[in-house]
Amino acid sequence: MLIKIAWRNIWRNKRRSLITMASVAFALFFALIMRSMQLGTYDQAYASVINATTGYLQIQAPGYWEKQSLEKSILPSDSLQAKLLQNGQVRALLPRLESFGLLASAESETRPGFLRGIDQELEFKYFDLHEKIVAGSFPKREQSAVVLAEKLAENLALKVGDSLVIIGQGYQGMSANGKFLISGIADLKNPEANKSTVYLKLADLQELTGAYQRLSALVVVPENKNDLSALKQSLQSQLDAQDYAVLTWRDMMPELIQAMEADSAGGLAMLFILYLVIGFGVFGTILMLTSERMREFGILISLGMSRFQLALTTFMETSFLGLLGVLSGSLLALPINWYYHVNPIQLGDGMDQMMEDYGMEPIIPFSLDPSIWLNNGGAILLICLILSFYAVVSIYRLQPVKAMRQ
Amino acid sequence: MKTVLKIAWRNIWRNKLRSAVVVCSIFLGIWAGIFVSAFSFGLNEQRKESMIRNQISHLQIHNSAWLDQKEVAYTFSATALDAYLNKDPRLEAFATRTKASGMVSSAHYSGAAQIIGVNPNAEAALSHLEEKLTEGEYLPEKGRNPVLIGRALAKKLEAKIGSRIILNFSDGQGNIISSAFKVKGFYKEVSSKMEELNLYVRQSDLQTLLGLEPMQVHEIAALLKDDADIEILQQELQAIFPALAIQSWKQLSPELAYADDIMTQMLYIIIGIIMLALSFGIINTMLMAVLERRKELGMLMCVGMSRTKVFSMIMVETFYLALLGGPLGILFAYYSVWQGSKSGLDLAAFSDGLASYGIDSVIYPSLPTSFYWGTTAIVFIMTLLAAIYPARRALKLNPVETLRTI
Repeated sequence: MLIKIAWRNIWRNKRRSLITMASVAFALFFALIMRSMQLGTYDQAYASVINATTGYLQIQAPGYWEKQSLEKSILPSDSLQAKLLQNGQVRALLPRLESFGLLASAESETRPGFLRGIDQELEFKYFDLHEKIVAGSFPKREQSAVVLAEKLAENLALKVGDSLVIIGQGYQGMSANGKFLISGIADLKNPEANKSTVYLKLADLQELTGAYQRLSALVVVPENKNDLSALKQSLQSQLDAQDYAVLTWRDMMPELIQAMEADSAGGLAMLFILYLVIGFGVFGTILMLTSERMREFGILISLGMSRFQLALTTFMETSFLGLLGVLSGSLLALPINWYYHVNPIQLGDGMDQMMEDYGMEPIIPFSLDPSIWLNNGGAILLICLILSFYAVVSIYRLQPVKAMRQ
Repeated sequence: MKTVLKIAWRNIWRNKLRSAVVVCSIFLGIWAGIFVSAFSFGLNEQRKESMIRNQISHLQIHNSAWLDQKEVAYTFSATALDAYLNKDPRLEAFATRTKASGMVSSAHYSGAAQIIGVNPNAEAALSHLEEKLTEGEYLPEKGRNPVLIGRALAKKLEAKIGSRIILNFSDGQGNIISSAFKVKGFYKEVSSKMEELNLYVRQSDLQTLLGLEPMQVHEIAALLKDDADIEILQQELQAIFPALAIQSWKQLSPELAYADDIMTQMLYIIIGIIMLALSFGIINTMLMAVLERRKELGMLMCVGMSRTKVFSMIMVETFYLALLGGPLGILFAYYSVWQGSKSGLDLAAFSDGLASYGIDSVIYPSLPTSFYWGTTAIVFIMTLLAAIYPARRALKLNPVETLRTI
């Protein structure tokens, strides 16, 4: 009964209700598009960087990440790895050795490069590395060869079948020089990594640097990438803190996260202002709705309707108003977000360069994370609910006789 | 007309709460909108300024082949240019540089290095390298192979003032040069990436190692006193030295130029969206003001007030509300931007992230004066547009019918 009255009340003044709903819908529509774009971009940036560089979680020697030197490498025993793999949250452990060297070709000049020794089979399986090949292939089982990142190969003017000279410093100050056949070229989908990475077989890099059996890190592939801190703790408890440290990608790349957070904060500030303005608009509606019905409220109370029932009806009315606005705003935004989620915006002139500078691909995919809907829809609804207390308070304060005389 | 102005003015004080809600929403919307704009604008300006002062300068001159491949062999003779630039009064400072990319290593670490040979005095004037030192001394005139390294690199190399580090780089003829340098000082840069990558040595030392003549350089960077002269000088130089590549900061960093170009548009979009949200509230409130006064408006029309006058009365009422809220918001915004530009806003929480964009953590909001005028215009135009619908509603009232209703 009360719900029915509330619903009918909304349509008593169609125009006003529609305008109020439209303003709520507009704010939410805009908020959803903007947040979906922002958060989608961040997800994309994180995924691209995580995939091309560190992975989600790594087990390293304490202090390795600050120095990234071979001297801080680890020597995990097979039994330790087997023990870690028994953790239900760990899907796989990928051994990696990383080092640094000068790269040279026969004709062109030298260029600094980042050497990454990998277990190919595992990287194929968990990082889809083989799908990133654009020319040639990863070396065969017996072959000792390297795969160059696309931009690096271009800078060095090297092709598949050429040979690459690596001049570097090995473990404990040994010199690490070698010559390798280039068996493939890969596009790593990350501008920074594309400029510098060389993939070698783990054993080849260990031999080159003299770091036999040693690893820079064990990359942990988690079962559930959303709950890394729990996994980090459970792994750390299995390991001796003297010899091993567990780092998530958040620990390893604080600059990336902060850059994204700073950007996100800008978006939130904008939304805050928008909500503020829309809040005033909704308040204006509630104000009028209350004042124009004072007489009616007075009559209803004199007739015996309890103040509670009356307040509840008005409260429901404003909630419906907010809810309808939120629903229509969401419905409007959904197709647009969906479209750009499936077909990300490709950036052109200038912007693409800017994105690449931050180590991202120049595309903007929209996010369809339901939490964007819940958070923004919830925020607007909450604003409407809080504002409708004005109506409730004035109903409780109302003096029927005075109100009816107006 | 005078009567209309007077009636409208009195009308807005009849329902003080309602008028206050509209005025407040305009005031807060404008204030917050301008402040957010000033913040973004200031951030962008700071980033541009810091990039130009610290990294790219206004103009850079290279061998045209250098643009495709940054090879050691692509030098040019700076003799004629040096003489020309020395005489030009428009220049604030300029410096010649010789560059090599290679590897830096100590007993503890080895990593990529961009070795920049600078003329100590000219560089101090151009990029204020000397002022960036946090420890040690600036490149001395005498002494064997001095080098300045970034704080971040010093940490990785575990280098102290006076330590020896080894630099490896190619001489462009297929030979790798390996030479010991003595660390003279540590410098500080906004971005730790740059601190890690760039090493400064004396130009003469690097030229000797590379087998170059004293005036054979890779780069000339110049800073001008007045931004307006940049393109003029660029064209002049290009005409005199057609073989060289002369680029302004806009070509050197297209993303910076792009951000600079779209900034104002972006800000107007922000203000536009806020105003759109505001106009929903204005339409609704004014519509209520009309519908609530049906009887009164009908009466006015019956006693002979012309429709034009009724229409303009509603428009003027709306205009008054904007006149109260708008300028107040703009004045407050102006004051807070001015305050902010003096003291700066410290975003320490995001400092690492901001550093990776190349800016300091203290942001000084600023905004060109034209933007305040632009915003004022937008506010009044949008307000008047929003008033049209309620005012038209007033015209559509049927005087006789309105008198009959209660």
